[in-house]
Amino acid sequence: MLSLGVTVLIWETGSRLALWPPAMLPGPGAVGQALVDMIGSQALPAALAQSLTLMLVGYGLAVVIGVPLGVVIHHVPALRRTVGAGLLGLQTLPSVCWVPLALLWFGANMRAVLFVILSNTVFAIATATAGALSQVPPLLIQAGQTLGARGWTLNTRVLLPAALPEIVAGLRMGWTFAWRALMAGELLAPTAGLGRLLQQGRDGGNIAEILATMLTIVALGLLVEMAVFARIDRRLRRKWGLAPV
Amino acid sequence: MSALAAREHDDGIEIRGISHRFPGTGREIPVLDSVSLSLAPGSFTCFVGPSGCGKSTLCRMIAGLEMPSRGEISVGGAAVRGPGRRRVLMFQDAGLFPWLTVRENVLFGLRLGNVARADAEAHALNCLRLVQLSRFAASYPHELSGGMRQRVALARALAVDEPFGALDAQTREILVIELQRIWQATGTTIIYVTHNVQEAVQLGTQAVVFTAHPGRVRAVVPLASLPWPRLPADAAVVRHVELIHAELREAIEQVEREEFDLGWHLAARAVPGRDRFDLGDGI
Ligand SMILES: Nc1ncnc2c1ncn2[C@@H]1O[C@H](COP(=O)(O)OP(=O)(O)OP(=O)(O)O)[C@@H](O)[C@H]1O
Ligand SMILES: [Mg+2]
Repeated sequence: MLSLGVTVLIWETGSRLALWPPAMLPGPGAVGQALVDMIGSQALPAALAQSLTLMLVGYGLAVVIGVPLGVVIHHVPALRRTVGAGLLGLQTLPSVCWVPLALLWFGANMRAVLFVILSNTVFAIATATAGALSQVPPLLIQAGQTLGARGWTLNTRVLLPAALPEIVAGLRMGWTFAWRALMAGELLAPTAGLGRLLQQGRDGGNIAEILATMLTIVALGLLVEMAVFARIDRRLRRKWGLAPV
Repeated sequence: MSALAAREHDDGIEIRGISHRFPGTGREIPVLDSVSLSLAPGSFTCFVGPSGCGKSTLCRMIAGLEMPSRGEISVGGAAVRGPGRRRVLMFQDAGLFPWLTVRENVLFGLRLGNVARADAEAHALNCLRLVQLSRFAASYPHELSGGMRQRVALARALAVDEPFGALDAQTREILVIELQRIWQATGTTIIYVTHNVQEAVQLGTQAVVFTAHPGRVRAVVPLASLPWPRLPADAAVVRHVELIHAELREAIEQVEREEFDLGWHLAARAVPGRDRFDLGDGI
């Protein structure tokens, strides 16, 4: 909080003293004004709603596909060796690299953006889930077996709960992946989201608008991170008796 | 340490000609070699033997978590083919589920057995009372001491349906008396692994002494004829403790002897022949 205040202060002083051309980097006042204007004109709320909807659909799908895929990969040794390694390779591919393919396959629309989100996030979540499952102590699995759990019950009652903190860590990472993929997709495909606002700012040469949009993106990312993931993570760790990270 | 119990009164355990080698370790000596034992229904058998002689491995086999290279184990007449609820192994480090409370841990096996909710709750509470932990029903495993966790694991094993018992000795916190009380109350067939011979004599209806590398049965000492209660100073208890101690000492000394021989063997090979010759010549 303090460092944030100091940053803003330096930023404001810098632009007041005209240490750099104000057109290139407007001060906090100008950016704040742009933010207010964009909210007033409904441009920002509309873009926000659009982006969040895409994000929730994309991320939701990624979780629904990724977690079961991870479970399957974990249980099929042949898959673990082949697909597992392949997914790891795909993960090194930055999300923007998927955009050209997405545009050609789906056209310049929301489905293309959705595809960019899924292509990244599903793999990240699947590999994280498979990894989490493989790290469950054999002792717990055996304890479950001797108490009569097998097959489906062993998976749902022992394996998944035991791996949950690690799976959530994977979901958290997946959220970051999805968020970045969304922006990359929106920048290049003509949807009406936040990425589009950045693009419009560029076209109109309106740097204050661009900065205001960037701030919104950061704030939103942080909000979800702290309000959702950090909280779940803390609660799980406390309950499981794990050290906080 | 681990202990193991068959669930039903009439479940005896037959161990016939068990030999075992862990695949891929490249070691020549089998872990277990021709081990045959007969554990009567409702008996209390104590396993003693040098560290690494295969006590835990044998327990894991009876629990169905490990398959022997040769031989067969049957519990209550049925061959063991995999893990199941008739045989519960209590693990050295408890193996409680960290995401469940003490109460939920004990309920785990009960709920899988389709016991009605209310009955299961009542039974779980009873089992927790047996190990004097009913006040900690709502705690999580990480909030308990090591010994308390062991007792929860015991309650969890006890709870799986009917009579049940299983224990661990390495943490001294499970009292001998408590263990005995549970065995007497439930009539369960128990295998109890311990390094404490005194405890073995006070608890068991028989003691089995193992040798190591390979793990073989060195002696089966019947204890059923000793009257209860057994006090450490009783002449019969003292005599049996000494008897088992003598067997155990022999088994441990055998391990030491082998280690010593092995040491010499390696040392002799480490010295190149010519050096030895030169040395001898110089003297
Ligand atoms: N998974 C495994 N793979 C290879 N070797 C193993 C494995 N588990 C046990 N062993 C070997 O089998 C032997 C017997 O081990 P086990 O744990 O049964 O001994 P133990 O009698 O319980 O010893 P302790 O009294 O120290 O607990 C040891 O020599 C050990 O190295
Ligand atoms: Mg052991």
